Amino acid sequence: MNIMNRITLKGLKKNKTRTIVTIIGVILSTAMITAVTSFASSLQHFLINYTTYGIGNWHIRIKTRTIDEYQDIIEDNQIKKYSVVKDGGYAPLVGSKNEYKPYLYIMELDNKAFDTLPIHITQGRLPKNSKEVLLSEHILYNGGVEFKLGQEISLEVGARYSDGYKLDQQNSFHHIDTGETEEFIASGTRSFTVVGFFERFPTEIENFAAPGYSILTCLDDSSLTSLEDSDLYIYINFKNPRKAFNYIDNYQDHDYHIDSINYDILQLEGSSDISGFNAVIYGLSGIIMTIIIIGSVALIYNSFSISVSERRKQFGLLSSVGATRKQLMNSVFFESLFIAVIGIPLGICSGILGIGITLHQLRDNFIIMLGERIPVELTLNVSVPSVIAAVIFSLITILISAYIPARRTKKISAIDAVRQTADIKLTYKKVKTSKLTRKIFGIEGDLALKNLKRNKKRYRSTVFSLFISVLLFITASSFSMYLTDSVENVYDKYNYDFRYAVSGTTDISEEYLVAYENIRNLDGIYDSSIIKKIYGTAYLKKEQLEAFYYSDMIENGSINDGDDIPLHVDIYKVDHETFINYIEKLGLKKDKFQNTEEITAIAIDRQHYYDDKEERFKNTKLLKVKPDTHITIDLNNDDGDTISTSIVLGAYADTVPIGIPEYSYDYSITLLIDEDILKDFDWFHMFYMFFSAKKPFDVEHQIVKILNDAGLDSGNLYNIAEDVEYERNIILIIKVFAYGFIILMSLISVTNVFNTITTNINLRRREFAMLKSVGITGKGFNKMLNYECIFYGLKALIYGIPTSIFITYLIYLSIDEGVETSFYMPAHSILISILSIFLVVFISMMYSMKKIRKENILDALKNENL
Amino acid sequence: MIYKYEEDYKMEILRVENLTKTYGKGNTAVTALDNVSFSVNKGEFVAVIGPSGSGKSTLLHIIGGVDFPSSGKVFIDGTDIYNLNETQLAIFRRRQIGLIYQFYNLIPILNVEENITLPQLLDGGSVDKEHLNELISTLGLEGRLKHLPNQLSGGQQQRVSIGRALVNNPALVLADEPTGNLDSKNSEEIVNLLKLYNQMYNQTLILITHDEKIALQADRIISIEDGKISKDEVIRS
Repeated sequence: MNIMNRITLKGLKKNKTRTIVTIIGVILSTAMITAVTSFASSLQHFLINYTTYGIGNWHIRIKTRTIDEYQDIIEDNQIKKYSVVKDGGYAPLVGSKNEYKPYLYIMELDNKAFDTLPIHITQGRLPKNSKEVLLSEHILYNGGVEFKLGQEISLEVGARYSDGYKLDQQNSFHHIDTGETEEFIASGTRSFTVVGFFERFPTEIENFAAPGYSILTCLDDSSLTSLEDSDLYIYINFKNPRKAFNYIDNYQDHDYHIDSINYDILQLEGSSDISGFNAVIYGLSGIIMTIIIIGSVALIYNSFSISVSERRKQFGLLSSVGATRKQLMNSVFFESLFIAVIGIPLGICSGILGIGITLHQLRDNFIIMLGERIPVELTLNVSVPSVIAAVIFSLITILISAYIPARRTKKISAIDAVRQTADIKLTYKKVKTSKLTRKIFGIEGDLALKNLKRNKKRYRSTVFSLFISVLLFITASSFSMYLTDSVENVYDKYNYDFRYAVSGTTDISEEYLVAYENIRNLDGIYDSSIIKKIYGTAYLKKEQLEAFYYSDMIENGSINDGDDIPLHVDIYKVDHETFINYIEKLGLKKDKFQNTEEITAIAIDRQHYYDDKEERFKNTKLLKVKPDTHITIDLNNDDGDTISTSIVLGAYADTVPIGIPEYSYDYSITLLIDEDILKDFDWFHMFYMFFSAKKPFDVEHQIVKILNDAGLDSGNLYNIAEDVEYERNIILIIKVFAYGFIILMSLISVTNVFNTITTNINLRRREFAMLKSVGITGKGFNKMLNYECIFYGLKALIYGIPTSIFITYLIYLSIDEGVETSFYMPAHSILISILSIFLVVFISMMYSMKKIRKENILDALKNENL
Repeated sequence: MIYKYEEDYKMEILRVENLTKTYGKGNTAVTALDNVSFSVNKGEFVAVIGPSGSGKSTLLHIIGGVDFPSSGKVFIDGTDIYNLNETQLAIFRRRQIGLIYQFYNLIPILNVEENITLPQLLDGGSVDKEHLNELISTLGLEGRLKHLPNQLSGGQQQRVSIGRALVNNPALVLADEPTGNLDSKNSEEIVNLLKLYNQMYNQTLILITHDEKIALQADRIISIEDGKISKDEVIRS
């Protein structure tokens, strides 16, 4: 090792604290970059797995009818791999309940296709030859035809034609009702042994409207020599997925055509068609990377500029004894490489470790966030290119940070460097403070302020670091606060876990009531109701309504003065049992509401709305009608006829039974009536069944089964808990990453501040000694330093807090677009940031003063005079 | 000595008793001061001379209360300064001792006026404007009050540091080679200034120097060799 490098290493050793802090800075920034890139690549990997599970790992599907075309396609050198599925023809499915799916569709798969397609066996095994067959399970649950494992089936195989054209799975069944017809022409029989069942294919493979249920068998290789009248489907993966869309565009001209495109996989693998989730991921990573880059460049640059300015005198001495500029520059680069060699590998390891642990902890939340429970896990995926990118990026940052301040030293003559005269050009104006400062804070405060002013750059970078931390902390916590709030709002809207809804045109047969009873009797269901909703309009007199409603109606031209005022009414017919329970809870007399002669309702007259003018939520009511008043309501039945009826407003209530909204919609009221006394009105606009469960996820599949067994469409079932769970997961994930990011950014800032302050103190050792020798006391000295801390902190907060409040306001505005909410001060996080700012500054100061305080005055004086 | 008052004549302002200072321990221990004792009367101008490393600076710094003796005592105006706690010592330094260094050691962010009045400012007291103006005109620093140290020549900076040493009318002014960094013209000016204060205000002054010409202007010359007083001669009295 040459003498220059030895001197450099000694310098690093001497300034141990700064060297360690710089290395920590490099570790932090490298770790953050690695974490972000590893997260992005893990997520991409996970989504590819997820998509592969759902749709399969292929890019496009080409349909062809000739062997020549097939040869053409597979010989293209853009293709990485392909698999083949031959159309084995249709066979009528005897007894299919689905009028639009009257066939079985035989797919003959080559060996590779069994891997390419998303085949998930629920029972049995894959077919081993062309005599064995795997059946889609929706033949049973959608078609209602049951096959047994091991069953021998004999199928009448043929093709579908319409007007002489051969139809395929993309052509839905030409049902008589649609005005078209199709013809099945049998060409022979085939027999198979059923060896298993698999989950229904996604629409990319078996179109939702396809007329045939997929059944899979093995492709007899010899049958590829002649296709006869069969179609051949080739599932293709490209070597370069980015060029997939070029290929697709070019193939428009060919006879054979691209029959299905796996957009999800193509997007995930980076094809040019970037949109949706990918765009968000790339966008977010971009923003986060930019912030990390600014933070780490600031930190590393700062460290090196401190180091170089301290070494300036040394450089002067060295150059006066004949060290060349090149040697001096090399010394700076050596220093930076030394830091890099230690910091970067540690940073990469800790970044990978950190994100690995985070992902491990959050893996279930990610899966639920995607809305389904599938056997694909989000695991850490470290991509080599992203690690290399992190290394290169960190190295470049370090080298640039070292180069710029080093270059500045070149401009200074050797003797100036030795004398250190050119280091800081002070002028009186620069360090001028107002007389008031001295009056308020004393000479110590005045000295403190002048000290900050003497090196504006360093002062600014310290304040900026603190400012950024304050800003990030407050805004990120506001952001997650608003987010949590909006989700809670959504959750609060519901007082049930499951809703089954069908429109009034549905014939509510006995099956519904049977299913309702069966579901109610499930373990864990603790509340339920059947509700039928009817829309109506009440006409009221001016004095029966709140004045504002009347004036609003006049104002918007809905009525003329003196008219009866129309008011929208939602009438809920509540099932008898639920209604009686409800009445009892309210403490009202049952009989009053059971009178079939005089229909009596409970009114909910509460509006909860956001007033734009007053910028807050308001609760209001509309009616001034006294209880037990008759009001006339026009009800529209399903034939479009209007029936007027008189209803007694029996009582007002603030609570509601399960399923009824707690608040009425704007400008409307809600009436609850026992279904049994409104038997005459057997029509309704909406039919609902509501259920509350202790553990919604545990009973969900049982409810679905009951509905299916009763022949009801389980698609009408809505699981609120799932919805809320989904949003909670999103919030948790956002929170973890937001806070993780803030913590790391704050660490970078803290390191930066620590570095600046300790150096600042170190450089002033001689001055401190001087002050001591003219008789500053320990107390006065502390006072001066404390003032310095306070000035740093105050400045950061003076800029930081208003900016954060402003950004919080912007966040509020954007959240308010979607969910009505009100603006509130992030007081909590402001308080935390004030405390932490002063804590960081004071601790840095204390740390650096610890050594100096013990020092002999003369040692310090001599030290610098040497 | 016509200026000196009769009652001050024999008044002892400084007494050094058996002062010893050793650096390091065991075999490598170096003795900088070896059992030094002497006293100085009020208004005396004492020059301390001796070769490099003889211990004269150490002696001065211990007297000034900025370094600590290994053993022995220092009395200034009757106060045993190493019997004071840190804060008391700091306040004592600020009021009773004026230190002048070879390298001026001014505070770079304070202007001339602020540097001179720093001991008073630290004391929290108000500045006696009349006294200050007199001091500044004696030092020849009129018109430079708002300058920062880096805007002044070496001689001017040293005059500022003299001002700072004198501003509180201390019991003792200690100067550690105040002219060591200056040319002969500036050196002469500085010495003349110090002498002026010594004679006009009966200011006690202890000055370390290498320069024989300067030493010969003192009332008394103490020579130090290997941490011991080798000669103590009164030139004039």
